[in-house]
Amino acid sequence: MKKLFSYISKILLNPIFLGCILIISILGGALGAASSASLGFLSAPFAYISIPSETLYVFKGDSFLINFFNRALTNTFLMSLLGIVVLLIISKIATQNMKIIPSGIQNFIEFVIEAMYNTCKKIAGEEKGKIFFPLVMTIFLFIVVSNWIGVLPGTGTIGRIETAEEYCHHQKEKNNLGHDVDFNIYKRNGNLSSTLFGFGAAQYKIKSSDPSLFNHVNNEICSQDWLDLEFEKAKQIKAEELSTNNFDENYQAGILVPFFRGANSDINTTLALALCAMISIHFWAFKYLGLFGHIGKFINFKNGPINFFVGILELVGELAKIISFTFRLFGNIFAGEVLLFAMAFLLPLIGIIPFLGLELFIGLIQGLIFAMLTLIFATISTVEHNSDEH
Amino acid sequence: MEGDILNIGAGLAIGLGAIGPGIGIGMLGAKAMEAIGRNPEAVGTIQTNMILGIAFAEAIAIYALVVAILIKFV
Repeated sequence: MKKLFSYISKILLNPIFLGCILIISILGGALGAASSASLGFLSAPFAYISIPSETLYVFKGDSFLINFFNRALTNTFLMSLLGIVVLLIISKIATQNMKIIPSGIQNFIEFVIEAMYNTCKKIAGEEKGKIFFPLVMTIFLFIVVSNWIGVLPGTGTIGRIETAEEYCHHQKEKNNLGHDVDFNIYKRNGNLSSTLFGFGAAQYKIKSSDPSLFNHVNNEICSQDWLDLEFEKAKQIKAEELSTNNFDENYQAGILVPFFRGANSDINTTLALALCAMISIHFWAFKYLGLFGHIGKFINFKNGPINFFVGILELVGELAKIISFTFRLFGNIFAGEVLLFAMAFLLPLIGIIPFLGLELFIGLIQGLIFAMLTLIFATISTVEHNSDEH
Repeated sequence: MEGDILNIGAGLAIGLGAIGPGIGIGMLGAKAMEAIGRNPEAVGTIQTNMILGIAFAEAIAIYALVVAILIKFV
């Protein structure tokens, strides 16, 4: 068994083998597809990049719970629930049979938690560190776990095809018309479709430019006939290009709605985290400084007009903290996702591997930064500051 | 035509927006290396603070990136 393992690893790490994979990936990817029609056998259509998270299911009904929460189950929300489940399972396994001298996963979890606990106590002091620690650690674990499960293969690539007609209908409901969307042609395989490994890929795109698609015939949004016509044309062109005619009813035009998408690539998740962090920070500030002690930092009449304006600037700074918390995490994770899409499109087999490593690193660093900034802001805002001294 | 100008705008947004943070991160890294060279025992503290500083500088590049993404895709 061990011999077989070392044999396999020898093959995988062989430079000739790696070179072959590189050449295959270059020929099979977008570069090959651009140079010759017969190449590009591995290329998947470039994934549709949407900034809002895609809706998987809309709850119907009129009960209080449904009205209170969002009606739409989005793929990023599903992913954050998955992250919570993963965390629950890990903590259950780690605490199943605890020993005084820890080993295995219990040891690892204790190491992580102890490192963060010591950092908290070092930065915020013995007493406050204990109070800030739960929130800081929760933020860290949630962000890191949801970032890491967001780079697993299958996120963003496996999903349902939203047909062109359906897409236009949704856009009309949201009153969000006039976009230029490239619909890909996908092979239908039941309800499931996938762009993974180029499965079901057909590279021809129906380009919908406004206003021809959205206000086509008599102001009727997205007339079915027009879409069908355009789709037939696209299929014909593609079939001529490949000199085959294997496009039958199993192909349809649309965009891929992935089932899973990294939780922090949705701006709502990061905004929620930022609001949680900032509300807790202000709660602690009120607790330690008192009502007037904390408000006095922002609305300050005592030390002349300059300090009054400094106070106003601090108030703006508090809002800027929320915005920078939100956009730092969202921007990093979303840009990472787009980067992975682009690399999977350009160099299908091999190009994505170094960037997966980069994404894992960025996921960890962003979680650490969010947690540390929460800790530091909490520490700063609970310290009484004496403006008389300088 | 409009799409071309949008593409140029998106490229300029991230390209120009990355200059400042690039300089900032370079200076942070250089100073941190200098500090580690002078006082190798303080590697841990210096590294943590450097990463925090880089995060602040990087946030500005991320704003530019978000603007570029908004121009390109929304």
